[in-house]
Amino acid sequence: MKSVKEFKVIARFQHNQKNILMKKISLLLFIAVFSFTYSVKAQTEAQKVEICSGIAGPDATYQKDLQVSLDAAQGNEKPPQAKYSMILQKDTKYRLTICTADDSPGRGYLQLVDGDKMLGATYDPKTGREFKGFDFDCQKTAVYHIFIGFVDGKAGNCIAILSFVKKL
Amino acid sequence: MKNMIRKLACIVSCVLILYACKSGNSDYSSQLGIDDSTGTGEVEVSQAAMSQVVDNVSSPVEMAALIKAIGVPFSQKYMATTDNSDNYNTSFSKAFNLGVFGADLGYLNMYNKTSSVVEYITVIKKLAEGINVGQFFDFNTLKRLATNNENIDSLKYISVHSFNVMDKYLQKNKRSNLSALMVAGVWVEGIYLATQVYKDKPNKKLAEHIGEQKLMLSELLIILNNYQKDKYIADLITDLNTIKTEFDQVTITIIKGEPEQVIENDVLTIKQNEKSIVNISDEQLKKLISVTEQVRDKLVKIQ
Repeated sequence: MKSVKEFKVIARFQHNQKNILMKKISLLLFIAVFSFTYSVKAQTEAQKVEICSGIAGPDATYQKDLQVSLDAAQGNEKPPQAKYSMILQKDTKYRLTICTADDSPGRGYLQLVDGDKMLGATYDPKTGREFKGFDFDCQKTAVYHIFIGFVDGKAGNCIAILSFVKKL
Repeated sequence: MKNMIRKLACIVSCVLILYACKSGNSDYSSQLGIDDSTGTGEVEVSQAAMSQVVDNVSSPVEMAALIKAIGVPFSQKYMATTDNSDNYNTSFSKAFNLGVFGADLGYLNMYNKTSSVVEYITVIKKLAEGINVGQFFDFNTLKRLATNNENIDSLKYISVHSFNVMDKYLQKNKRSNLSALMVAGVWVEGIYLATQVYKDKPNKKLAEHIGEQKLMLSELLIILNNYQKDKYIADLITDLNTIKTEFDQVTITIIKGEPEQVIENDVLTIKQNEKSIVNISDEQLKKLISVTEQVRDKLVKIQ
């Protein structure tokens, strides 16, 4: 027959075991939920690229995607831009498309530059007119630069797609 | 009861963790080891060098589109054979030939040759797994699309996107040397394709396109020179320089012009009036065809 003291020890032991078990379950569930959340986020990035590629149109063949995330300009500093250099070939119609993320504070824009000459942009700050993208009828094989930023220097997330449309 | 709760929690957690691991685009750390026996292990390239890298040096889509546009019928003989694929034992040969077969896949997709796609994506999957980027190649979906001859646009999209994801992953995880090799493989196979087609069916646009590869090769060599300490890449540079020597005779003239912006039906089109004119003679083309053949055949046989 067990004494009161023995019962108390057993009860305390059982209580501690229960605590340890609950902690293990909580840890496992936390890892599981974290992994699931991370995987959902990762899948969404791929889906965003695919959706943006679809926005380019059925006549466009996806070639490259540029995923941009920028902080807002601080104080008087120049609004940040991401720069990419690409070779584009003559006698080719390309399409550049920009898709701003739903939760992006700023609206993304894209500029195509040849050397020091801007060829085209999805946003005209003078008129405020915006385009989802533009076609580029390339006649000179060269290295071009694509600049991506956010209107008014805000922070933002966006995806730009370079598509091949056709040979000219 | 306790045991049951514990087991249930474990099962649920394992299922969710496995599901998370299956996602193709997770940002894996560089814990995945690679075959280091070639010396093409992790590589540190300065941020300044990386920021100068030019993209789109080689595009399987564009090369194949040009060949199709000039009316040349599809031919299997232009493509690399998959018979050698079991012999690619080093990271170098795997990464390079991954690019080669990527170019061939672009060619197959452009001509909607879905019956041959499965054979090539099988090899691509094997090579990609060999350099630990197989998880980014959506083999099952590509196989389904190709086998059922459905949705060619999705087939094209997933093919190109898979390669882009593999490329980005390699660059992010200090394996940009393998990314450079993949790009080199696509370029070599692309120019091989163009020169072989030109041999069979001379065409002015194709000749110009071949001549323009002078620029692409220059950019490719800039990328590869970052890794010239690697013996295999150094040898590749030597081989590519034999092609560059022939390109040195090709001249490209620029005729200045201002761009126009045209808006039609709310669609903005930039029409470029500045043009590049390629000056390449028949003799130069003949030499380029010959040297490209030699270099490409040598590289696809390397183990």
